Amino acid sequence: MPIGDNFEPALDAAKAGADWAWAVLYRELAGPVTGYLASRGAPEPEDLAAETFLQVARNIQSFEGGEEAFRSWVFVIAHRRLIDTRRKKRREPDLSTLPDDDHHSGGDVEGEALDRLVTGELRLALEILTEDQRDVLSLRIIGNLTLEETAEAVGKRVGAVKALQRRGLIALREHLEQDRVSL
Amino acid sequence: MSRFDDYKAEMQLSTLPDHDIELLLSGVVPDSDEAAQLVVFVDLIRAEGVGSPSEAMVAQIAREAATVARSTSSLDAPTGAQPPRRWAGWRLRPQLAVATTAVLLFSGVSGVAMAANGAAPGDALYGIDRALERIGIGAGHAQERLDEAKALLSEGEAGGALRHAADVFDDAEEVSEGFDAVGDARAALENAAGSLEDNGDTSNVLVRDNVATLLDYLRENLGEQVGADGKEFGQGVADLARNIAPGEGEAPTPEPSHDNGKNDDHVGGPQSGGSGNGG
Repeated sequence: MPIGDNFEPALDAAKAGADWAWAVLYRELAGPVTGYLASRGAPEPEDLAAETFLQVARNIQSFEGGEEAFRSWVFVIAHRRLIDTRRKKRREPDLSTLPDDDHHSGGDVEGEALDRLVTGELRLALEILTEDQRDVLSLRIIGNLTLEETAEAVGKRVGAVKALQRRGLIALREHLEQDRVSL
Repeated sequence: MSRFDDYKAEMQLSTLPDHDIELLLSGVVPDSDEAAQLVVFVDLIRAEGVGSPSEAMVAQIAREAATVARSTSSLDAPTGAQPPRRWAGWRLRPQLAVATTAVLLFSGVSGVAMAANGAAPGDALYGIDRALERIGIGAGHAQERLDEAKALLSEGEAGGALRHAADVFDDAEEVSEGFDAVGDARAALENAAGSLEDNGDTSNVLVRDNVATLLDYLRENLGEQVGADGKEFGQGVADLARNIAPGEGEAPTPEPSHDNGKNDDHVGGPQSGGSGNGG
Protein backbone atom coordinates (compact mmCIF):
# COMPACT_ATOMS: atom_id res chain seq x y z
CA MET A 1 0.00 0.00 0.00
CA PRO A 2 1.54 3.33 -1.02
CA ILE A 3 2.55 5.78 1.66
CA GLY A 4 0.60 8.50 -0.09
CA ASP A 5 0.39 12.02 1.31
CA ASN A 6 2.70 11.14 4.14
CA PHE A 7 5.55 10.28 1.83
CA GLU A 8 6.93 13.80 1.65
CA PRO A 9 7.19 14.35 5.42
CA ALA A 10 8.59 10.83 5.74
CA LEU A 11 11.24 11.58 3.14
CA ASP A 12 12.22 14.84 4.83
CA ALA A 13 12.46 13.08 8.17
CA ALA A 14 14.45 10.24 6.62
CA LYS A 15 16.94 12.75 5.25
CA ALA A 16 17.28 14.21 8.72
CA GLY A 17 17.85 10.73 10.14
CA ALA A 18 14.60 9.91 11.91
CA ASP A 19 14.26 6.22 12.71
CA TRP A 20 10.49 6.22 12.30
CA ALA A 21 10.74 7.54 8.77
CA TRP A 22 13.17 4.85 7.73
CA ALA A 23 10.93 2.25 9.34
CA VAL A 24 8.05 3.52 7.19
CA LEU A 25 10.10 3.49 4.00
CA TYR A 26 11.67 0.12 4.70
CA ARG A 27 8.42 -1.51 5.71
CA GLU A 28 6.81 -0.27 2.50
CA LEU A 29 9.49 -1.41 0.11
CA ALA A 30 11.39 -4.25 1.77
CA GLY A 31 8.89 -6.88 0.62
CA PRO A 32 8.88 -5.95 -3.07
CA VAL A 33 12.62 -5.38 -3.16
CA THR A 34 13.37 -8.66 -1.43
CA GLY A 35 10.88 -10.42 -3.69
CA TYR A 36 12.46 -8.94 -6.76
CA LEU A 37 15.94 -9.96 -5.65
CA ALA A 38 14.72 -13.45 -4.76
CA SER A 39 12.98 -13.87 -8.08
CA ARG A 40 16.18 -12.84 -9.82
CA GLY A 41 18.18 -15.49 -8.04
CA ALA A 42 19.98 -13.44 -5.42
CA PRO A 43 21.53 -15.97 -3.03
CA GLU A 44 20.67 -13.93 0.07
CA PRO A 45 17.84 -11.62 -1.01
CA GLU A 46 17.08 -10.28 2.47
CA ASP A 47 20.70 -9.39 3.01
CA LEU A 48 20.92 -7.73 -0.38
CA ALA A 49 17.72 -5.79 0.32
CA ALA A 50 19.20 -4.55 3.58
CA GLU A 51 22.36 -3.50 1.77
CA THR A 52 20.20 -1.73 -0.77
CA PHE A 53 18.53 0.34 1.92
CA LEU A 54 21.80 1.28 3.54
CA GLN A 55 22.98 2.43 0.14
CA VAL A 56 19.75 4.40 -0.19
CA ALA A 57 20.48 5.99 3.18
CA ARG A 58 23.96 6.97 2.06
CA ASN A 59 22.56 8.72 -1.02
CA ILE A 60 19.25 9.97 0.35
CA GLN A 61 20.40 13.59 0.54
CA SER A 62 20.64 13.73 -3.24
CA PHE A 63 17.19 12.31 -3.90
CA GLU A 64 14.39 14.62 -5.00
CA GLY A 65 10.98 13.44 -6.12
CA GLY A 66 7.76 11.76 -5.15
CA GLU A 67 6.92 8.31 -3.92
CA GLU A 68 6.89 6.65 -7.32
CA ALA A 69 10.24 8.15 -8.19
CA PHE A 70 11.60 7.00 -4.85
CA ARG A 71 10.36 3.49 -5.44
CA SER A 72 11.96 3.45 -8.85
CA TRP A 73 15.21 4.82 -7.43
CA VAL A 74 15.32 2.10 -4.77
CA PHE A 75 14.79 -0.59 -7.39
CA VAL A 76 17.51 0.87 -9.56
CA ILE A 77 19.90 0.59 -6.62
CA ALA A 78 18.66 -2.92 -5.84
CA HIS A 79 19.15 -3.97 -9.44
CA ARG A 80 22.69 -2.59 -9.53
CA ARG A 81 23.59 -4.40 -6.35
CA LEU A 82 22.14 -7.54 -7.88
CA ILE A 83 24.36 -7.09 -10.93
CA ASP A 84 27.37 -6.60 -8.66
CA THR A 85 26.47 -9.79 -6.82
CA ARG A 86 26.16 -11.69 -10.07
CA ARG A 87 29.55 -10.50 -11.21
CA LYS A 88 31.09 -11.45 -7.91
CA LYS A 89 29.40 -14.83 -7.97
CA ARG A 90 30.74 -15.56 -11.44
CA ARG A 91 34.24 -15.06 -10.10
CA GLU A 92 33.68 -17.47 -7.24
CA PRO A 93 33.37 -21.24 -7.41
CA ASP A 94 29.87 -22.60 -6.88
CA LEU A 95 30.30 -24.54 -3.66
CA SER A 96 26.72 -25.48 -3.12
CA THR A 97 23.63 -25.84 -5.23
CA LEU A 98 21.54 -27.35 -2.49
CA PRO A 99 18.16 -25.70 -1.98
CA ASP A 100 17.76 -23.65 1.17
CA ASP A 101 14.77 -24.91 3.09
CA ASP A 102 15.51 -22.89 6.21
CA HIS A 103 12.75 -20.47 5.38
CA HIS A 104 10.09 -23.17 5.50
CA SER A 105 10.20 -24.11 9.14
CA GLY A 106 7.13 -24.97 11.15
CA GLY A 107 3.58 -23.84 10.56
CA ASP A 108 1.31 -25.01 7.80
CA VAL A 109 3.12 -28.03 6.35
CA GLU A 110 0.57 -28.63 3.60
CA GLY A 111 0.54 -24.97 2.65
CA GLU A 112 4.30 -24.85 2.61
CA ALA A 113 4.43 -27.89 0.37
CA LEU A 114 2.00 -26.22 -2.00
CA ASP A 115 4.04 -23.03 -1.89
CA ARG A 116 7.15 -24.94 -2.79
CA LEU A 117 5.35 -26.66 -5.64
CA VAL A 118 4.02 -23.41 -7.04
CA THR A 119 7.35 -21.69 -6.60
CA GLY A 120 9.04 -24.59 -8.30
CA GLU A 121 6.70 -24.38 -11.28
CA LEU A 122 7.18 -20.67 -11.49
CA ARG A 123 10.94 -20.96 -11.45
CA LEU A 124 10.73 -23.65 -14.06
CA ALA A 125 8.77 -21.35 -16.31
CA LEU A 126 11.13 -18.47 -15.68
CA GLU A 127 14.07 -20.59 -16.78
CA ILE A 128 12.99 -20.31 -20.38
CA LEU A 129 13.44 -16.55 -20.29
CA THR A 130 16.68 -14.80 -21.01
CA GLU A 131 18.30 -12.93 -18.15
CA ASP A 132 17.32 -9.58 -19.65
CA GLN A 133 13.72 -10.68 -20.11
CA ARG A 134 13.60 -11.86 -16.53
CA ASP A 135 15.07 -8.61 -15.25
CA VAL A 136 12.56 -6.52 -17.14
CA LEU A 137 9.50 -8.56 -16.23
CA SER A 138 10.45 -8.75 -12.57
CA LEU A 139 11.08 -5.02 -12.35
CA ARG A 140 7.80 -4.26 -14.06
CA ILE A 141 5.69 -6.77 -12.13
CA ILE A 142 7.26 -6.85 -8.68
CA GLY A 143 8.84 -3.42 -8.69
CA ASN A 144 5.81 -1.88 -10.37
CA LEU A 145 8.17 0.26 -12.41
CA THR A 146 7.06 2.04 -15.56
CA LEU A 147 8.64 1.35 -18.91
CA GLU A 148 10.84 4.42 -18.57
CA GLU A 149 11.88 3.57 -15.01
CA THR A 150 12.67 0.01 -16.00
CA ALA A 151 14.73 1.26 -18.92
CA GLU A 152 16.74 3.41 -16.53
CA ALA A 153 17.23 0.54 -14.12
CA VAL A 154 18.55 -1.91 -16.70
CA GLY A 155 20.37 0.71 -18.76
CA LYS A 156 18.45 0.13 -22.00
CA ARG A 157 16.21 2.15 -24.29
CA VAL A 158 12.47 2.09 -23.72
CA GLY A 159 11.95 0.37 -27.08
CA ALA A 160 14.35 -2.38 -26.08
CA VAL A 161 12.52 -2.87 -22.80
CA LYS A 162 9.19 -3.14 -24.63
CA ALA A 163 10.65 -5.73 -26.96
CA LEU A 164 12.12 -7.71 -24.08
CA GLN A 165 8.89 -7.84 -22.10
CA ARG A 166 6.90 -8.74 -25.20
CA ARG A 167 9.23 -11.58 -26.18
CA GLY A 168 9.33 -12.77 -22.59
CA LEU A 169 5.56 -12.89 -22.30
CA ILE A 170 5.27 -14.68 -25.61
CA ALA A 171 7.82 -17.23 -24.51
CA LEU A 172 6.01 -17.78 -21.24
CA ARG A 173 2.70 -18.13 -22.98
CA GLU A 174 4.12 -20.74 -25.31
CA HIS A 175 5.73 -22.57 -22.43
CA LEU A 176 2.54 -22.58 -20.41
CA GLU A 177 0.53 -23.86 -23.35
CA GLN A 178 2.97 -26.46 -24.56
CA ASP A 179 3.95 -27.90 -21.21
CA ARG A 180 0.62 -27.21 -19.55
CA VAL A 181 2.31 -25.98 -16.44
CA SER A 182 -0.05 -26.43 -13.57
CA LEU A 183 0.05 -23.20 -11.60
CA MET B 1 0.77 -29.04 -34.87
CA SER B 2 2.11 -28.10 -38.29
CA ARG B 3 4.70 -25.45 -38.91
CA PHE B 4 1.94 -23.32 -40.35
CA ASP B 5 0.00 -23.65 -37.12
CA ASP B 6 3.11 -22.68 -35.19
CA TYR B 7 3.52 -19.67 -37.43
CA LYS B 8 -0.10 -18.67 -36.95
CA ALA B 9 0.15 -19.02 -33.21
CA GLU B 10 3.32 -16.98 -33.08
CA MET B 11 1.86 -14.26 -35.24
CA GLN B 12 -1.20 -14.15 -33.03
CA LEU B 13 0.90 -13.81 -29.91
CA SER B 14 3.27 -11.33 -31.45
CA THR B 15 0.34 -9.04 -32.07
CA LEU B 16 -0.24 -8.86 -28.36
CA PRO B 17 -1.13 -5.18 -28.13
CA ASP B 18 1.10 -2.94 -26.05
CA HIS B 19 -1.99 -1.70 -24.27
CA ASP B 20 -2.85 -5.23 -23.15
CA ILE B 21 0.70 -5.85 -22.03
CA GLU B 22 0.63 -2.72 -19.92
CA LEU B 23 -2.68 -3.73 -18.37
CA LEU B 24 -1.36 -7.20 -17.72
CA LEU B 25 1.81 -5.99 -16.03
CA SER B 26 -0.07 -3.49 -13.91
CA GLY B 27 -2.37 -6.18 -12.55
CA VAL B 28 -5.45 -5.53 -14.67
CA VAL B 29 -6.98 -8.39 -16.66
CA PRO B 30 -6.75 -7.44 -20.35
CA ASP B 31 -9.61 -7.89 -22.78
CA SER B 32 -7.78 -10.17 -25.15
CA ASP B 33 -7.67 -13.87 -24.35
CA GLU B 34 -4.04 -14.04 -25.39
CA ALA B 35 -3.00 -11.62 -22.73
CA ALA B 36 -5.53 -12.75 -20.14
CA GLN B 37 -4.08 -16.26 -20.12
CA LEU B 38 -0.88 -14.80 -18.74
CA VAL B 39 -2.55 -13.21 -15.73
CA VAL B 40 -1.94 -16.20 -13.50
CA PHE B 41 1.75 -16.12 -14.30
CA VAL B 42 2.02 -12.39 -13.65
CA ASP B 43 0.17 -12.83 -10.38
CA LEU B 44 2.59 -15.51 -9.30
CA ILE B 45 5.55 -13.29 -10.01
CA ARG B 46 3.90 -10.46 -8.16
CA ALA B 47 3.31 -12.75 -5.20
CA GLU B 48 7.07 -13.04 -4.83
CA GLY B 49 7.11 -9.43 -3.69
CA VAL B 50 4.28 -9.60 -1.22
CA GLY B 51 6.30 -10.65 1.82
CA SER B 52 6.93 -8.25 4.62
CA PRO B 53 9.94 -7.95 6.89
CA SER B 54 9.80 -8.81 10.55
CA GLU B 55 9.46 -5.94 12.99
CA ALA B 56 12.89 -6.78 14.36
CA MET B 57 14.32 -6.43 10.88
CA VAL B 58 12.46 -3.16 10.35
CA ALA B 59 13.78 -1.77 13.61
CA GLN B 60 17.33 -2.84 12.89
CA ILE B 61 17.49 -1.52 9.35
CA ALA B 62 15.62 1.67 10.24
CA ARG B 63 18.08 2.46 13.00
CA GLU B 64 21.07 1.71 10.81
CA ALA B 65 19.72 3.70 7.88
CA ALA B 66 18.76 6.64 10.09
CA THR B 67 22.24 6.74 11.56
CA VAL B 68 23.81 6.63 8.11
CA ALA B 69 21.48 9.37 6.86
CA ARG B 70 22.33 11.57 9.82
CA SER B 71 26.01 11.12 9.18
CA THR B 72 25.56 12.37 5.61
CA SER B 73 23.16 15.18 6.43
CA SER B 74 24.18 18.80 6.75
CA LEU B 75 21.11 19.25 8.89
CA ASP B 76 20.87 18.44 12.53
CA ALA B 77 18.56 15.56 13.23
CA PRO B 78 15.29 17.08 14.35
CA THR B 79 15.00 15.90 17.90
CA GLY B 80 11.36 16.85 17.90
CA ALA B 81 10.55 15.08 14.68
CA GLN B 82 7.63 12.77 15.13
CA PRO B 83 5.75 10.59 12.71
CA PRO B 84 2.40 11.82 11.43
CA ARG B 85 -0.43 10.95 13.75
CA ARG B 86 -1.54 7.86 11.86
CA TRP B 87 1.95 6.43 12.36
CA ALA B 88 2.22 7.32 16.01
CA GLY B 89 1.85 3.71 17.02
CA TRP B 90 4.58 2.62 14.66
CA ARG B 91 7.35 4.23 16.67
CA LEU B 92 9.55 1.25 17.31
CA ARG B 93 11.34 0.49 20.50
CA PRO B 94 14.97 -0.39 20.07
CA GLN B 95 15.38 -4.07 19.31
CA LEU B 96 18.99 -4.25 20.24
CA ALA B 97 19.06 -7.98 20.72
CA VAL B 98 18.65 -8.68 17.03
CA ALA B 99 21.38 -8.11 14.50
CA THR B 100 20.72 -9.14 10.96
CA THR B 101 23.26 -10.97 8.94
CA ALA B 102 22.82 -8.41 6.21
CA VAL B 103 23.89 -5.46 8.26
CA LEU B 104 26.66 -7.32 9.97
CA LEU B 105 28.08 -8.54 6.72
CA PHE B 106 27.72 -5.20 5.02
CA SER B 107 29.35 -3.19 7.75
CA GLY B 108 31.65 -5.81 9.13
CA VAL B 109 33.69 -6.50 6.07
CA SER B 110 34.54 -2.85 5.66
CA GLY B 111 35.70 -2.65 9.24
CA VAL B 112 37.93 -5.64 8.94
CA ALA B 113 39.28 -4.23 5.73
CA MET B 114 40.27 -1.11 7.64
CA ALA B 115 42.01 -3.15 10.27
CA ALA B 116 43.73 -5.45 7.84
CA ASN B 117 44.68 -2.87 5.28
CA GLY B 118 48.42 -2.73 4.85
CA ALA B 119 49.17 -5.85 6.85
CA ALA B 120 52.39 -7.61 5.91
CA PRO B 121 52.99 -11.33 5.49
CA GLY B 122 53.28 -12.95 8.88
CA ASP B 123 51.13 -10.34 10.56
CA ALA B 124 47.99 -11.45 12.29
CA LEU B 125 45.86 -9.48 9.85
CA TYR B 126 47.66 -10.53 6.72
CA GLY B 127 45.28 -13.39 5.96
CA ILE B 128 42.34 -11.05 6.15
CA ASP B 129 44.09 -8.45 4.05
CA ARG B 130 44.61 -11.01 1.32
CA ALA B 131 41.11 -12.41 1.62
CA LEU B 132 39.60 -8.97 1.28
CA GLU B 133 41.75 -8.27 -1.72
CA ARG B 134 40.45 -11.44 -3.29
CA ILE B 135 36.86 -10.36 -2.93
CA GLY B 136 37.60 -6.87 -4.10
CA ILE B 137 37.29 -4.88 -0.91
CA GLY B 138 39.99 -2.40 -0.07
CA ALA B 139 39.98 0.21 2.65
CA GLY B 140 36.80 0.13 4.65
CA HIS B 141 34.68 2.63 6.51
CA ALA B 142 35.37 1.62 10.07
CA GLN B 143 35.85 5.19 11.23
CA GLU B 144 32.53 6.13 9.69
CA ARG B 145 30.95 3.21 11.48
CA LEU B 146 32.42 4.40 14.74
CA ASP B 147 31.08 7.90 14.09
CA GLU B 148 27.67 6.35 13.70
CA ALA B 149 28.16 4.44 16.94
CA LYS B 150 28.99 7.73 18.66
CA ALA B 151 25.80 9.20 17.27
CA LEU B 152 23.83 6.34 18.75
CA LEU B 153 25.57 6.84 22.08
CA SER B 154 24.71 10.53 22.07
CA GLU B 155 21.08 9.51 21.74
CA GLY B 156 21.32 7.37 24.84
CA GLU B 157 21.59 4.06 23.03
CA ALA B 158 24.75 2.77 24.62
CA GLY B 159 23.92 -0.83 23.83
CA GLY B 160 23.16 0.00 20.23
CA ALA B 161 26.43 1.91 19.97
CA LEU B 162 28.35 -1.12 21.18
CA ARG B 163 26.59 -3.41 18.74
CA HIS B 164 27.23 -0.98 15.95
CA ALA B 165 30.89 -0.83 16.86
CA ALA B 166 30.99 -4.61 17.03
CA ASP B 167 29.91 -4.72 13.42
CA VAL B 168 33.36 -3.65 12.29
CA PHE B 169 34.70 -6.99 13.48
CA ASP B 170 32.07 -9.21 12.01
CA ASP B 171 33.13 -12.01 9.71
CA ALA B 172 36.68 -11.82 11.00
CA GLU B 173 36.55 -15.48 11.93
CA GLU B 174 35.09 -16.42 8.58
CA VAL B 175 37.64 -14.52 6.61
CA SER B 176 40.66 -15.91 8.33
CA GLU B 177 41.46 -18.43 10.97
CA GLY B 178 43.86 -17.47 13.70
CA PHE B 179 42.20 -14.15 14.29
CA ASP B 180 40.82 -15.01 17.68
CA ALA B 181 41.89 -11.77 19.32
CA VAL B 182 39.64 -9.63 17.19
CA GLY B 183 36.89 -12.23 17.37
CA ASP B 184 37.16 -12.03 21.13
CA ALA B 185 36.99 -8.26 20.95
CA ARG B 186 33.80 -8.43 18.98
CA ALA B 187 32.33 -10.93 21.40
CA ALA B 188 33.29 -8.66 24.30
CA LEU B 189 31.46 -5.74 22.70
CA GLU B 190 28.37 -7.81 22.07
CA ASN B 191 28.43 -9.24 25.57
CA ALA B 192 28.67 -5.75 27.00
CA ALA B 193 25.78 -4.62 24.83
CA GLY B 194 23.73 -7.62 25.94
CA SER B 195 24.43 -6.90 29.59
CA LEU B 196 23.39 -3.29 29.17
CA GLU B 197 20.20 -4.35 27.46
CA ASP B 198 19.45 -6.86 30.19
CA ASN B 199 20.10 -4.35 32.93
CA GLY B 200 18.39 -1.46 31.19
CA ASP B 201 21.23 0.76 32.31
CA THR B 202 22.10 2.44 29.05
CA SER B 203 21.49 5.99 30.22
CA ASN B 204 23.84 5.82 33.20
CA VAL B 205 26.47 8.56 32.91
CA LEU B 206 29.32 6.29 33.90
CA VAL B 207 28.20 3.69 31.39
CA ARG B 208 28.08 6.26 28.65
CA ASP B 209 31.52 7.53 29.59
CA ASN B 210 32.93 4.04 29.48
CA VAL B 211 31.32 3.33 26.13
CA ALA B 212 32.73 6.60 24.79
CA THR B 213 36.17 5.61 26.03
CA LEU B 214 35.89 2.26 24.30
CA LEU B 215 34.80 3.87 21.04
CA ASP B 216 37.76 6.25 21.27
CA TYR B 217 40.07 3.30 21.83
CA LEU B 218 38.68 1.54 18.78
CA ARG B 219 38.99 4.69 16.70
CA GLU B 220 42.61 5.17 17.65
CA ASN B 221 43.74 1.59 17.41
CA LEU B 222 41.61 -0.17 14.85
CA GLY B 223 43.86 0.72 11.97
CA GLU B 224 46.97 -0.19 13.93
CA GLN B 225 48.28 -3.52 14.97
CA VAL B 226 48.74 -3.38 18.69
CA GLY B 227 51.00 -6.21 19.68
CA ALA B 228 52.68 -8.72 17.44
CA ASP B 229 49.62 -10.87 17.01
CA GLY B 230 46.79 -8.47 17.76
CA LYS B 231 46.23 -9.92 21.21
CA GLU B 232 47.00 -6.66 22.94
CA PHE B 233 44.37 -4.92 20.90
CA GLY B 234 41.80 -7.60 21.54
CA GLN B 235 42.63 -7.63 25.22
CA GLY B 236 42.34 -3.86 25.36
CA VAL B 237 38.86 -3.98 23.89
CA ALA B 238 37.86 -6.79 26.23
CA ASP B 239 39.13 -4.87 29.27
CA LEU B 240 37.20 -1.76 28.35
CA ALA B 241 34.11 -3.79 27.58
CA ARG B 242 34.41 -5.43 30.98
CA ASN B 243 34.44 -2.01 32.60
CA ILE B 244 31.14 -1.27 30.92
CA ALA B 245 29.42 -4.47 31.93
CA PRO B 246 31.31 -6.87 34.20
CA GLY B 247 30.77 -10.52 33.49
CA GLU B 248 29.67 -13.14 35.95
CA GLY B 249 31.94 -13.40 38.97
CA GLU B 250 33.79 -10.24 38.11
CA ALA B 251 33.78 -7.17 40.23
CA PRO B 252 32.79 -4.00 38.46
CA THR B 253 35.39 -1.33 38.19
CA PRO B 254 35.00 1.20 40.98
CA GLU B 255 33.35 4.38 39.83
CA PRO B 256 35.99 7.01 39.21
CA SER B 257 35.88 10.27 41.08
CA HIS B 258 34.31 13.19 39.26
CA ASP B 259 37.64 14.93 38.80
CA ASN B 260 39.12 12.08 36.81
CA GLY B 261 40.54 13.42 33.61
CA LYS B 262 40.03 11.73 30.32
CA ASN B 263 42.46 8.95 29.72
CA ASP B 264 44.01 9.82 26.40
CA ASP B 265 46.74 7.22 26.46
CA HIS B 266 45.01 4.52 24.48
CA VAL B 267 47.68 3.56 22.02
CA GLY B 268 49.41 1.07 24.25
CA GLY B 269 46.16 -0.42 25.51
CA PRO B 270 43.58 0.82 27.93
CA GLN B 271 44.20 1.36 31.59
CA SER B 272 42.30 -1.40 33.26
CA GLY B 273 40.16 -0.25 36.12
CA GLY B 274 40.29 3.41 35.24
CA SER B 275 38.58 3.98 31.96
CA GLY B 276 36.15 6.70 32.91
CA ASN B 277 36.69 9.84 30.92
CA GLY B 278 35.07 12.17 33.35
CA GLY B 279 32.21 12.92 31.03
